[in-house]
Amino acid sequence: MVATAANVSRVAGIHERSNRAAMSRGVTRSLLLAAGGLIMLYPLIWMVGSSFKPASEIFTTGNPFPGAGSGLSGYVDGWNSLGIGFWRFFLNSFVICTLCILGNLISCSLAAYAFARMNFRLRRLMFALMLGTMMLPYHVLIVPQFILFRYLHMVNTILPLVIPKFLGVDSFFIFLMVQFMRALPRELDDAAKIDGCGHWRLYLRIVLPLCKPALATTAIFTFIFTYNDFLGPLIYLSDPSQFTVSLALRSFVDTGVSGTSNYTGLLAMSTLSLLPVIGFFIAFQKLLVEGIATTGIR
Amino acid sequence: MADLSLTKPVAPHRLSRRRRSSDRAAYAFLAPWMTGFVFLTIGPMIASLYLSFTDYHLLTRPHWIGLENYLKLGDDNRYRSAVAVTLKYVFIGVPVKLAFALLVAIVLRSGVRALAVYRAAYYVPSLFGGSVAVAILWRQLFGQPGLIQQALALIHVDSQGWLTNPSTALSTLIILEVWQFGSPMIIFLAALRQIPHDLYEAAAVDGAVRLRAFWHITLPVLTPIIFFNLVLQMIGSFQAFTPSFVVSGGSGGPVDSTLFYTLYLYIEGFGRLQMGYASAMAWVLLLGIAAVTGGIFLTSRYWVYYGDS
Amino acid sequence: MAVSRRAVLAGLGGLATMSVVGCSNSGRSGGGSNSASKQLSVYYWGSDSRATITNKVFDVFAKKYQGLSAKGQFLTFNNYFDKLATLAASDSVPDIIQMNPGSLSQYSESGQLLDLSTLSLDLGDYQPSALASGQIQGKQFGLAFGYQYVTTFYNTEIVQAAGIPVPTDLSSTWDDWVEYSLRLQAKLPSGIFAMTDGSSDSNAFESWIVGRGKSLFTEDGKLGYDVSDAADWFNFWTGLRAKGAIAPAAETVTYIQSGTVTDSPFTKGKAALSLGINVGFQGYQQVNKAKLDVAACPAGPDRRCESNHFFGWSVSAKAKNTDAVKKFFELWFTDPEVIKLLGTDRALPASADQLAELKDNADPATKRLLDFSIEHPEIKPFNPPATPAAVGNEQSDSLQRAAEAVLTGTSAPDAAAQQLVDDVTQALTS
Repeated sequence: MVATAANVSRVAGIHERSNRAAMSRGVTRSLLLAAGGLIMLYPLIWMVGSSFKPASEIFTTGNPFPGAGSGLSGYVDGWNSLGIGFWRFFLNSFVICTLCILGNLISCSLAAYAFARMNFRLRRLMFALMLGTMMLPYHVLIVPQFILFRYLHMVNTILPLVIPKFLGVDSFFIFLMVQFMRALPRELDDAAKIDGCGHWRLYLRIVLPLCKPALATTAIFTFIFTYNDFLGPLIYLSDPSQFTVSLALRSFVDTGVSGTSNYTGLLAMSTLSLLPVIGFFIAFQKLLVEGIATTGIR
Repeated sequence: MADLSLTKPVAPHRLSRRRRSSDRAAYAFLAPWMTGFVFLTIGPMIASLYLSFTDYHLLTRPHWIGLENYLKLGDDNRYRSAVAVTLKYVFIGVPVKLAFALLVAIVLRSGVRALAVYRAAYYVPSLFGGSVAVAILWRQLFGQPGLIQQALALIHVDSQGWLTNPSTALSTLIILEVWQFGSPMIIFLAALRQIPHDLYEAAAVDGAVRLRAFWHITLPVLTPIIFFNLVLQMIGSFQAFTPSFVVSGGSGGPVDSTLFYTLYLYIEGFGRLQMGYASAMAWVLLLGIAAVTGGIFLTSRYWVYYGDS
Repeated sequence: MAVSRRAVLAGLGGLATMSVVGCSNSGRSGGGSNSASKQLSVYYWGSDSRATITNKVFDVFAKKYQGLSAKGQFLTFNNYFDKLATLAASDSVPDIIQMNPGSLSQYSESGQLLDLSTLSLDLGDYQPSALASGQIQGKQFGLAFGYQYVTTFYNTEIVQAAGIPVPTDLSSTWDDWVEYSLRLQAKLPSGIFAMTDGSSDSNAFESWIVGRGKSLFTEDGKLGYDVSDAADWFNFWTGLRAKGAIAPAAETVTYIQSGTVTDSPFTKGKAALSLGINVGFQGYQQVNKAKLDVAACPAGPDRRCESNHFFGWSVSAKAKNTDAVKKFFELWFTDPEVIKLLGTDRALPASADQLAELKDNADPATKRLLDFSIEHPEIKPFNPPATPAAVGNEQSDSLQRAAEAVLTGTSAPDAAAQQLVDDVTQALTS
């Protein structure tokens, strides 16, 4: 459009009208979002509030805010459960999660680049196989895998939990990155090739940086999955001092014959255990939004 | 879907040498994945396939019984319930969850203030994962007496505790799944962010019929991600285990109304030590998921648009 | 930029791995492959408090026998057997494992367990009947902690307020208890019920069956009860509920789903009576605000209702250091300090002397339990025929499902009874 005075004022007029409309839309939207957010967060609020209440109060009201008789006893008991300070479980979880994130970022992006950007024999077959591996329930693989790791003398360490991540077993993330990479225009590749870039440089210098949202997503989700994973640590770790947070949290509720549950302890420690996850998420979510929107890819 | 990254004609022998070197390069990139695939995945998968044809009680050596496990599935009432429960869970839960995820992602993307806070708030439920706290929470909400029941009573709707009633117990798990829409939402957000703004500018001046912008610009560009989320949520839902395990206390109750397929598999394999039978169930599941996924892949040609083809 | 940051991260990762792996090197040799090792691996289920107690016992063991030690791992009950099964499948069963009747049969039948008679244990005045409870077809596969059997717990405050004391005559039958409950219910304020629904409790069910002169399973591995026994059981509870002596069905279903004592209506002060395993008394008292007391289980002819529920240690057939195992067991069952530490956490000691000794230092709840068994020598727990290996824990699982079906109105009591019998019969023949 040519920027004549008439045009500018007409556009300004449109903008003014749509601004007012936009504002009222914005208010409704904010209200709805806020209401939605509260509903989504209510369970969390309930959990945090209940972690301060005495056990008998937890189930009697829906009011999440602690009333009389509340205190930190849940936190004190819970922290010292299993005879080991909960900090140890946090440390264990942290180490395992960090290694798993590293492993996934490396191995999955490498494999995804190959599937998305390279042409090779058996590509489609391997892609189908890769997807196929996601479809078998983990429970039937546990026993053979356990036998394998036992043969390698790796049980009772964290190695069986971490090494698979360096070998691209999480097809979920390979697939995710493939989809992101395929959305990148091909012209990038051609431009780079003309400049003499080989695949390695193309991968490292161009494709990877552009995939920051996918990498951030992978990092966040790997963290969540690994942090919450409980069957793996259950099978491979036997020394309580090696337990992860997810495993330690399971020890609060016992359904044996005289089993009791320490609900305040459980809620208190569950609350604490959410903090690193939320923190991690908040730290990384900015990367999610850094897209190529402003880098002017044409 | 085939594409050639070569833009100028090359002599034949040059082509095959390039082909070989590009093959080698590809295999180099794939080396970690292939190692993992062969040792950690294919090996155990073949083992479990073999076991599905055996009578393996986990504590003793397996011995071959051919197709008997598979045939037994046909007569197993609990198996049939498990299949029905899982199908309901997948085909109701996944679409609703994705719809919410997409809706909220779009609303969040268009520059709301305190975006980061909302994003975190909507995502937090997904962080609960399979925690035991969720079970307590869900019982508190949907049990008898539960908060939902009390809330409904306020508006004079009489209901039984949802969790203790076999006909509504599964709905509580579907709600649990939908509540955790934060994960696909994040993926949609990431994808939406990758859409270049200038695509919108062209249509912006036109009084911005938002719906049209959505339909003609956003949606097509999003289709790879919708496809991705759809496939993965389906696969994940078919294999859902923890929600039921944690909320029903591992029983799939009441009366098998929340008996997910993999929960039943787990009960048979680890509870009753019938690992051969459980392996057969696993492979039937795999075939089922492969069929559904294959179907989605086949139809994808008609509705998914990639930037590179 | 990205590369160098990644390199740093990788370096840190390597260091972290080394430190964590290094720290767990001591655990590396675990999992049953202790060649000539001086450390016993012990695996059990329970809660925090049990772990504390058990760890103290390990300390006593290490102190007494220089050079030997015991390391324990515990999980909650619901996860215990999965891990055990995985360990067993890969030949890495820990040396000493805690067992219940179903698993005792399963694991012994597949040769995973050691015949303890080969250890020639000297256990003091450990009762022969307790010893017999761990025997399967004449071989000693398990060593029971003591006696576990069904009793009736009651909330003294509710009962006192109503003014009708519980039957103390040990020969009170199920019908007598029904009659009592109805009388009690008439005096109770609304919202409080006389009895807690026990239809899904397999220990109570066993008590019912033995009260009829039968047993869950016969010596030759067949089902010991029939559909009419099960139908009567479900009708019993349904009848009580219809007469208003039990809380509405939905509340019971919630309790069954959560599976812990904390969620029982009895614990919440909403019921006056509950059937329960004797050693659970302490646990129940811990979470109940009111003072509890214990009475005998509803009896059958010859007042048989205390069917002993095996709960004890077994030893892996592949355990290397059987001498250490012998020392450990002798310590566990005869050392006075250990007996005191263990209290009644797992079971009532199988030795009459120990029962009396414990009384002196016990907390009020334990003391009351011990008093009760001392006051009533006519309570003689007996050992029912072993659970067939094929059944495992299927009996209690099927019972729970059938009870749920009745409670949720999905099946009539008779149909549920038929389903129960069918399920268990199918498990027997599979």
